[in-house]
Amino acid sequence: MKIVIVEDEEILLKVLKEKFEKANFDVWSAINGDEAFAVIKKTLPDMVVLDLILPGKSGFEVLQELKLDAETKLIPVIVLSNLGQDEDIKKALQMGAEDYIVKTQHPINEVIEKVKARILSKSR
Amino acid sequence: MNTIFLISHIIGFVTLLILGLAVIIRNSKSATNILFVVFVLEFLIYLVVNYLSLIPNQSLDMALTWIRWVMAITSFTGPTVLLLAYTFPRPVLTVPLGWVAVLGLLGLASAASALSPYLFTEVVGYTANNVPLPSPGPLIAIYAISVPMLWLASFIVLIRKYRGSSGLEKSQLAYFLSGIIINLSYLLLLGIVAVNIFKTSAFIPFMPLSFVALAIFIAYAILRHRFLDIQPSIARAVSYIFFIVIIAAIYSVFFVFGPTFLFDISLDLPIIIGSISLTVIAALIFQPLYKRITKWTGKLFFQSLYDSEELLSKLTHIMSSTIDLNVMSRQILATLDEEVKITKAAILFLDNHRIISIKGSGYDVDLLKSPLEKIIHREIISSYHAILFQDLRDEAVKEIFRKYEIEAIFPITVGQEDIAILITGAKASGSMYSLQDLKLLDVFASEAGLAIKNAVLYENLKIVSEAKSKFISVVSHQLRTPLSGIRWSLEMLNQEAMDPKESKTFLDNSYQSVIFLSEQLDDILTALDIYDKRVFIKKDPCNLFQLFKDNSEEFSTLIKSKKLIIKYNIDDVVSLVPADHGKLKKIVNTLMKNAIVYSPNGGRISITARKETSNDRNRAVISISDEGIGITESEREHIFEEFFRSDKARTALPNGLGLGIFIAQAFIKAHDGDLWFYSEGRNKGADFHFSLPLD
Repeated sequence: MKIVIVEDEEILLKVLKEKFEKANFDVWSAINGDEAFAVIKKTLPDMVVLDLILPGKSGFEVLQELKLDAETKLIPVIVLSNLGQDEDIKKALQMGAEDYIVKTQHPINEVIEKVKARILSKSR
Repeated sequence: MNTIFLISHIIGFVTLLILGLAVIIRNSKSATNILFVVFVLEFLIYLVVNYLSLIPNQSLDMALTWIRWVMAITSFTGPTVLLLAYTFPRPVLTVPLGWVAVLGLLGLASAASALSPYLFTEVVGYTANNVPLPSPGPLIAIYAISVPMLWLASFIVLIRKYRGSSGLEKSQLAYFLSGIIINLSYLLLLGIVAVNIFKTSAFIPFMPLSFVALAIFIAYAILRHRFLDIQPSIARAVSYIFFIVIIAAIYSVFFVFGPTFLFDISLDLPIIIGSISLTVIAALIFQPLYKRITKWTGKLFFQSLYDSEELLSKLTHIMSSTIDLNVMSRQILATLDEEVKITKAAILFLDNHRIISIKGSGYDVDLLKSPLEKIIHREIISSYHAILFQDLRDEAVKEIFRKYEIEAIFPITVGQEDIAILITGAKASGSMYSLQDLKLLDVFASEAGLAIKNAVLYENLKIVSEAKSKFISVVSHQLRTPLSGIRWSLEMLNQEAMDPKESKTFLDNSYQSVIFLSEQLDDILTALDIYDKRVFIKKDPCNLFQLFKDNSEEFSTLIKSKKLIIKYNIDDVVSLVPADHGKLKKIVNTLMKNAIVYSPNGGRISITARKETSNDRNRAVISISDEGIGITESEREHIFEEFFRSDKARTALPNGLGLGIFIAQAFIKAHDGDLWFYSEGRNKGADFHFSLPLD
């Protein structure tokens, strides 16, 4: 199972990477919006975990790019962000994100479980 | 009989005159009122010619002539009353002009035929009561159609209108109808019942008076629109009549008796009557004609001829009909231009003696701000007085007025607080302000206060609301980020086995995040205090050098790792500065932190402090220059905004609220100082300067 994590906070990325690797995922990462699309297009993962506030291009812009490209538009994207307002959630879901998780509201294990469940349901 | 006849006609005549005047004074533009006056005029003439036709012992030919005139004038009453019935009580003619023309022609045709020998061919004799008996000719038919039929038609129109109306209109129509019914009954009584049943034609001469009763009913219906307003109209009408009578009397006394007694000239009656009539007519038209001419010359010479009360109520209406500052200012300035012919005007909105916005027309508002703030600071503007250019004594202020073409300044206050200033320029005609203008503007300024204050508050509310949304979104994100780092780090430490090095990474990160969070929280709370204007200064002598030294110790790790070179050049004269210690520390920390974080490796930061004197005031000016990321043209205007961080800054330091400079500026301003900066552009470094008063 391949997964790309787009996250600019070092410590959060470290935690996510370790946990996903422990769950037997192959993890690639990007730390800003500009390189995110390139990494995803190159690896064509089974799932993208996307932060919204990024240096350079924002997560919303990356999401839009992904959905416009034929190769990447079917890759499911879960937004993992600390922007918690209704309008942001609505916007992301309308743009095609599968789910929206607010980081502070969930323990790390829950996040991993949610992503795993999504991937499994998709692959059926 | 003759006397009663004469007196009753005179009373009828005067009554009609009063009613006509009262109605036209009430409203000279309403179609109903105008038609009523036409109606009254017709009956006035009718009364006169009717009287003349009934003078006893005149020749049959004379009697015939007057009777023809009676028929002629009454020919017009049919069309008039029909038009009145259609229009009553509305102010606009509801009948298309084509129909008006047709009715008019009908009236004319009937009048023409009445004057011809074919309506009444001759007077055959007199009745026992000296009522002449005319014999009808072939054209009597035209009269029969135009007069009785049209009256009948009016009656039907009125009934239909009455059925379909409601409220006030319905009661007004009721009066009209009642008047007609009474009129008709009276006519029937005198004309038919008396003649056929009581066999007397003695009352026939009094028939015209029934129309006076009708006029009374209609006038009452028109005038009672505002029930209490009848008396002023009637009072004015009566005083007008007295005026006319007095003029006519004076004139006739001199004109009739003067020549006879002084010059022994006798004048013919027609000349006397003619010239008295002319005088009366001249007296009647004098006032309306005068009004019209002054209005016209006013336009020609740009004289503003406005009614102060009307204009004030117009302005008040504007102020109470909108809460939007832009709309209100625009409409007020446009009205002043239109009515008072003031070509340039502007409203300056104040907050605590500072100009927060200017709405103007005819002025370049950007130019006005600083000169006018100077005037405000000189405290020349006191709460209750207007300042006129011609009254100024201070040459410097006079120069400002002259340069920016300001004629007058009117403070707008609420209670003791100056909330706005109205400045006005020259009038279109170039003339000075009249007393009326000054009074008007003064009263307006004093009344505008509350409305303007509300509009300003509403404007602020909108701004505050937007700021609040932004605040919440930035803060929530910025605080959540370190929190999720701490949470997940602790979860990892709890759940996973890891080597000490890794544990230390998570622990250090959590610790740093906690420190960061506390600082952010402090900044947020400080920003809230600043929003609520709760910044308090307690001045003590502060050692600048020590503050900067403490600061570089705090950042020593970062300074060392980036190999930054920091140079100090602090004049002895300003080694101690009177300031709030905590706040000055914050200012220094913020500016130094920015310089350090945004500098490249090996960069130089130079700090200088010196004394400056201007306008008899001593200030300490402290400058911090770095060689870092700099500030671009487009970023320049946002630097002082809360939560602003340029993209470059974010890359250099991803987590920051962007409150640093906002807070530093607020603190400096609280000391009555200034903060400013200069940068040549991206990566060309930045120089930040701030001043603090030494006195």
